[in-house]
Amino acid sequence: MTPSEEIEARLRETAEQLLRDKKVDIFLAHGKASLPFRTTPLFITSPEDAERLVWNPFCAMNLAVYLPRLFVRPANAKEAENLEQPTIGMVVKGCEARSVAVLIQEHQIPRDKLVLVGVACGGMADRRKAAAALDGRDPLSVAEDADGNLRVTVAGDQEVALPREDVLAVACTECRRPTPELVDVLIGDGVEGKAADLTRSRTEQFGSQDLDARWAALREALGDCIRCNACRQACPMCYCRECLLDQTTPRWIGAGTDPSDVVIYHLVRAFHLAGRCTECGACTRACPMGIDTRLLIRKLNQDVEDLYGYTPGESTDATGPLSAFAMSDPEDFLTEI
Amino acid sequence: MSETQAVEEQTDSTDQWDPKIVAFLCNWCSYAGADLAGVSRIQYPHNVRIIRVPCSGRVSPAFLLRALQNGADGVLVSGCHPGDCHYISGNLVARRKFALLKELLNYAGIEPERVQFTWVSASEGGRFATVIEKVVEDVRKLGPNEKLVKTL
Repeated sequence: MTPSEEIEARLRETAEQLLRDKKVDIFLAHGKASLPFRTTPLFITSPEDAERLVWNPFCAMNLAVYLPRLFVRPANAKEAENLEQPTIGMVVKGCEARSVAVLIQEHQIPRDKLVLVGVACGGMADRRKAAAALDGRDPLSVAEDADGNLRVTVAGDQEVALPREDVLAVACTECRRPTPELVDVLIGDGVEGKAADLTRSRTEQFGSQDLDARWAALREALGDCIRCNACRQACPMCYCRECLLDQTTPRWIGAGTDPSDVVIYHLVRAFHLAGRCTECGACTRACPMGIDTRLLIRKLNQDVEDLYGYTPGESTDATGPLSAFAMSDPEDFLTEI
Repeated sequence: MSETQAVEEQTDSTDQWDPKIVAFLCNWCSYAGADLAGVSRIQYPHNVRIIRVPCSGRVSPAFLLRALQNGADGVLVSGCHPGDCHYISGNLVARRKFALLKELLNYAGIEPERVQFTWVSASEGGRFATVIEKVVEDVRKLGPNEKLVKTL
């Protein structure tokens, strides 16, 4: 049995038990998709369906994105009293547990209506990287060996071995906390995270260029953006019912691909995620143009950590760094006269 | 007429480029400071266009980016000194926001001098004039804002 198969078996068992005991109304997990390298979100409501649940190196999606929409948010306290909220069970990886923590912290979802089944995550594969490694051959099916590496069967019954490390998603190569912390049940042993230096070296590399080179590099990196807003849709932290982007009076950011609008869109999106981004890489996965959507957010999260000592997703009752202040906050950025 | 067109016409009417600065001033301190500069007959550059806001905490990064996109060459945000906020802590929350924004814009390759932040109290008319002089001088050195301005 491969590590993933073992986790899958235990997940199915846990999901079935939770549904049979009526501990949860819905169990949220990953299901088999019609293509290899893909999985699909799965909402299970009966114990018999637990066997449809899968666990493999492509369960990359951040399921927390669905949570705010599964709970009704009443307009006033009176309505809230009589409201029946569903109880939701959910598979969480390290990043998803952090996203859930931020959603609880921001009062978007109730903790007591959640049953979190954590999986210590070995890092998820990027389907684009995996496809690129096949040199244009179509994958027919994919399996995993005992070490977690991929064995892809391509046309002509040939098997291609893909080392897991080579196909890891960018966010997973940077992941510092792959073992979920906010969980009710944890499946699998803890996995050690990557060193923080890796993310930092990426920001430092970009930041070490001179000013105009940074601007050119940013324009280059965002040059392909078609403003489809997929990065916003995929982000579990972008739950606002009315987004600044959708406002028309005034229209803060033009909807087209004017270079100025594209840069401002990415600046504003990054800013709204400052100290909130849980670094799951959902935006990068969703991007149809292969843009490094976390280029600016990496820097912001790092600044929040350095200036205010805050890391998003670590606690459900902390005050967000931009809702708090200290008299001693640094202000060396002010104009001196 | 769109804001961009209006700005362009002004630019065309003179051959020489003159920086345009949009200043977001808080109602309780900096706006009163600007007023004091006026009633005290203190001279300061005419390049500044003042927008009065209830508090520096009201200023969203979107305001600043939109000003730059619509043709401003520089933006200034000024509020009450820490501890003096009319709303107790608006400027302290704003301080964190602006510290991050300034660093982010710098990282993105936008000249840090284009977006400036400071505190001016209601009694500091002279300081207000000095701040404006400094900001205008900084932006004049940089030249016109070409990076974020929307040209379409």
